[in-house]
Amino acid sequence: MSENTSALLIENLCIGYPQKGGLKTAVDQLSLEIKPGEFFALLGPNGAGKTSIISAITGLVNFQAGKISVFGFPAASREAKFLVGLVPQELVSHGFFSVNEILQFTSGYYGIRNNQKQIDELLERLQLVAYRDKQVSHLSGGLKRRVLIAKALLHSPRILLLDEPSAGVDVELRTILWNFVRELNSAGTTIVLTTHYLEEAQRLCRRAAILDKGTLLALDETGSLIASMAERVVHLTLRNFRVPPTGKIHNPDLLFFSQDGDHVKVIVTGSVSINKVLQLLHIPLENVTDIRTEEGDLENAFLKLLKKGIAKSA
Amino acid sequence: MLNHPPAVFSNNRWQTEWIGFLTLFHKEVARFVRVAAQTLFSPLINALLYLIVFGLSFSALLKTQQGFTYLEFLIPGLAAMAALNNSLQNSSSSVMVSKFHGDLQDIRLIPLSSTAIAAAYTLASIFRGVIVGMLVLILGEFVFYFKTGNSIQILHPGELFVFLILGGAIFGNLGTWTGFICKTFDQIHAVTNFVVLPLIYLGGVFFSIKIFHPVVQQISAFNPLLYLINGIRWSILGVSDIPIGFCLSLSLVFVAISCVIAWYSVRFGSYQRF
Repeated sequence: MSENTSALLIENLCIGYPQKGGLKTAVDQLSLEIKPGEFFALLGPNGAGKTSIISAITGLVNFQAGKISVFGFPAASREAKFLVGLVPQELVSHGFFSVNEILQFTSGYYGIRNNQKQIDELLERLQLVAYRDKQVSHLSGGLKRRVLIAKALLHSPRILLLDEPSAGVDVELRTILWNFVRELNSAGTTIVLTTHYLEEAQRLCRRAAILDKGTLLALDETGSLIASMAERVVHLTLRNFRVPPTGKIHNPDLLFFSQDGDHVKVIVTGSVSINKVLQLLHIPLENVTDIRTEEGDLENAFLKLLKKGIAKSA
Repeated sequence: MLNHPPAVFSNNRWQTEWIGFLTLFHKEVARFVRVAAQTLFSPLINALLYLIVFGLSFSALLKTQQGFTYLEFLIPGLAAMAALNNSLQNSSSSVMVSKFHGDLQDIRLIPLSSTAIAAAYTLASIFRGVIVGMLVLILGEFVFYFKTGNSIQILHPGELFVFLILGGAIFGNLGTWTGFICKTFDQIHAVTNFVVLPLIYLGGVFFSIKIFHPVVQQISAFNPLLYLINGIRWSILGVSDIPIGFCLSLSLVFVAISCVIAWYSVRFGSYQRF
């Protein structure tokens, strides 16, 4: 396993589920590469294909075409299974067994005997020590989620797949979770995250892929996605100046502007600088007394991309 | 912990496989021991009712079977039935309950081969089957002693264990298969009611197969239970409807076929939650 190998390489992946009259496509011709040590987000609305991709990587669903490799090993191969840890979206109960027993069994499945030190460390980090002897089925949703995270990390995977880990969990767990995951990432673990909370992806992930109906709409650095797709709102306070009427200025980057007294509100695409805004509206710098900007966020970019995707498919 | 290397680099393949197999076996045994009232003692109540109703109450009305009183004839049959039924139920209910809880997917994620997974389920099923079979046999001895003041001598104890193990393997494997192909509890009940129950009643638990209509006898030749029950009865009483060598050979064939079926179901079966 070379250090230069991709952590995850997906090529022309097609996933379909049987239904009356044939296969329902969940993922269509998807290709992406994730480098070792990346913190990567897979974003998309419900039905975008995020969980299908995660399931295909781990061997939980079969795919019809394409190729997935994990650090150079085929997906779901014995080697790949050692390298991947999965925190699934759905909570699991585990019948009659306690938290500690489940973690011991899971360690054993990976061929690790006497893993109590690692188990204790994970229980400590995920604040589960008080619940170690409780049956998993008796725990709350948030605690069950922590158990799932501990299970995924018992064998020290090189790539951690987090499928909606913060769905329906409280702020405390989110803080514990993200601090821990950030620490794992700093230590070299590759993280692949699917989430509905776009501010989390924006805060944590260096790169993101946006999916809709199984198709890749965008794949770029999170900052670049925001810059290229999100909107920026600029508030200008002017002295003795009126901007030209709206009909007189045409530029694709200038989405909207209006003047109310001395105050001008301008909406531009995320990549447009303040200087360019002033140039577009022919505003001399000496007439500007105040500038305030509202930066677009990933949610903004995400919604715009989805709208574009819908328009394209219509 | 953060710099802990993945387990793949610290263990060799066979060691990892062995530890994984033992862990799954341990978990499967712990599962049925945890609910012993349901899995170990409930079959005893069932057997006791059969012994009271058929063995004690009807015994005087029923003809002797192969030179033994009906109660003597019935006890090995009940022990065999309990062993095989519980072997089947162990793996099938474990897989189904795991599907219900959602943790069966763990088995798909781990680096354990389908062979090791199927073998762990089967071994745990054999274990439960042998325990329940022996408990029913002990119960039968008590009832027989209560009725006659004598005990039943087990003529071939080694062979008894061999047949219990072979039966446990066949029915444990079939349980794994039903667990993986069934998608609801209704489906698993249908398998029990429409497949296992007729096999039990036509397999010689309650009567010698020789009293059945010739057509039923011919159909029963395909019933693996027939050979196992006769093997177990021969091990205890020394009598069988079928030559014992034939029982053993066919049981081994059924073990081989059921192992392939169990492996296939673990490899390609459904792990989906319901």
